[in-house]
Amino acid sequence: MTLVLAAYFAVLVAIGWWANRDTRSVAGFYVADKKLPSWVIAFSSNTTGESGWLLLGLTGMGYLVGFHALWIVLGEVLGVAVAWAFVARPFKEYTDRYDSITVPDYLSDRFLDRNHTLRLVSAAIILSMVGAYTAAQLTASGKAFSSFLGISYGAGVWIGAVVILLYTSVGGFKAVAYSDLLQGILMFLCLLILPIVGIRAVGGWGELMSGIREVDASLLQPMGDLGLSMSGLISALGFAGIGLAFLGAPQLLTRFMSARDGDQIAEAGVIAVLCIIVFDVGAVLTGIAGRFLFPGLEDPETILPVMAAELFPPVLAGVVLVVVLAAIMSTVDSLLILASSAVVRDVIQKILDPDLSDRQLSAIGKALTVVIGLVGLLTALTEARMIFWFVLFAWSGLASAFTPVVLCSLFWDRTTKEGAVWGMLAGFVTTVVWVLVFKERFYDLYEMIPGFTAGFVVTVAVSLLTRPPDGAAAELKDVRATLRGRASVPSP
Amino acid sequence: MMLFGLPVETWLLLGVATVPGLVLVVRAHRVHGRRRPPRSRGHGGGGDTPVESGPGSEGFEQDERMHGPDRV
Repeated sequence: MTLVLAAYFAVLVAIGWWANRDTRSVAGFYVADKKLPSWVIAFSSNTTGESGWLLLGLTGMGYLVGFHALWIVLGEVLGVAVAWAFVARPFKEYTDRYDSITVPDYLSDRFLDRNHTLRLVSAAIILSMVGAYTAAQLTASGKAFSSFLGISYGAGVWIGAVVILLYTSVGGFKAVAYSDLLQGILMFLCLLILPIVGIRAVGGWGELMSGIREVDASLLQPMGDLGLSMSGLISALGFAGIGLAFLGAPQLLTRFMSARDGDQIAEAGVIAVLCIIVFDVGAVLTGIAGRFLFPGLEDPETILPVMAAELFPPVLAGVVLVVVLAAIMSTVDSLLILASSAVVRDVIQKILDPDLSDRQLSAIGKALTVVIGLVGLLTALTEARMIFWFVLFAWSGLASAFTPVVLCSLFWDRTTKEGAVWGMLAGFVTTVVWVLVFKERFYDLYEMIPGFTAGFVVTVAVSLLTRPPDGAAAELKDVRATLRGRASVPSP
Repeated sequence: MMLFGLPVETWLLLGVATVPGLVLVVRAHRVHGRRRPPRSRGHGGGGDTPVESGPGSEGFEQDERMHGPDRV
């Protein structure tokens, strides 16, 4: 198992070293000079969005609620599909026109943010949420090492952090994206093979279905044991709402920005949807098979490592550990790049505007990536309870802040800078308040639903009361015409 | 009603969860994906010819660009 792990880490570091030559500029370090092909952006987007939650959380959910977890599959597949089919191309077009490297970059240019208010608000939200989310993912990697290899939690956190920081700071976004491709392929194979092995261990599909019916027949029902009650409907809505984040989370939008061209985006969409279907359906079926094979597990989120240990020989169980770590690392590396870009590009280069060359800024970016990673590492080592709270709204808070504003910016020429600023704040604050105050009182409704709704409503309402940026309507019309292949040439 | 051990409603949910998403991206790929001009007879092999301007081509290679802060 240790050898498999060491080999995997060596490959990651080698990817970092290989990608290093393309990190001499800010654009090179943060978006790989916008030259990435379809397979890379498709897998990178999916693995960044999924993290350890896919292998531990979604399998655990399948174990707990059976086929009711398919509502998560619905939300995620639709979210990924709509993002690639409708959001990716206009976002790519706009960000190419503006030479944007970050999402705050794009928003700032889209809304003529001359006093940098929008840029600062978005960078602040990114930094605060990403810092905590990184710490939480490193905590997960420490626990994964500890349970698989029996080493201390602290040592596990250190090992995970050091490897991630090595290839990320040396190789930048190109290393992140290509390592995501490798990690995504491992996750894909694991979630394709494990449910098949699990179902065979039960004795076949028919045996599994009749066995699960005997355990609890409601596990086979789309609404689970909640039925068509208010709780059941809210649960289904909350599960499906998880997919909303794929439409606008900044760490995912960066993949659209970094595509080589629109052809890659069209191809990547098909790859991404096929991939997410295997990921999600595989995870749910793994949990369901595990429910029959290993009933009475105290923590359903351990079903994947338990199944790997019991059904696979030790070498392959080691590969499964690698896959769990791959899922975690593929999220952390992207978060580090996102946070670093928010400081280097959005604050230092665009606001402070010092007399620094592109190469110098890129070097600062690499150093900052390490610093942010170390902050996350030290926080994870303290195992502070606050990590648990931040994780609750880190993913949904980030997505609720950005998704409504990005969607409005791409499809509605009446969106204004003030609408964007207040919409981001409303989405973010609503998410936090919902988790802390209202969630338990309202059937545990997933916070992205009210967060996204509040963000969207406030963006539209404030935009209607304020003036849109000059030229926005004409620009949107031109972007649409370009995407339809009938670009109009602006008159001199 | 059961089908291969699962209620029909669950199969329906699985179908709705997967098929529309696939249809969306396949359709987008057909509409916006790479358009290769047909190979004319008599030419000796070679790779793909570059994509010409037209439906499906995007503007990164365009000469005219509208930059955000300076647009009128």
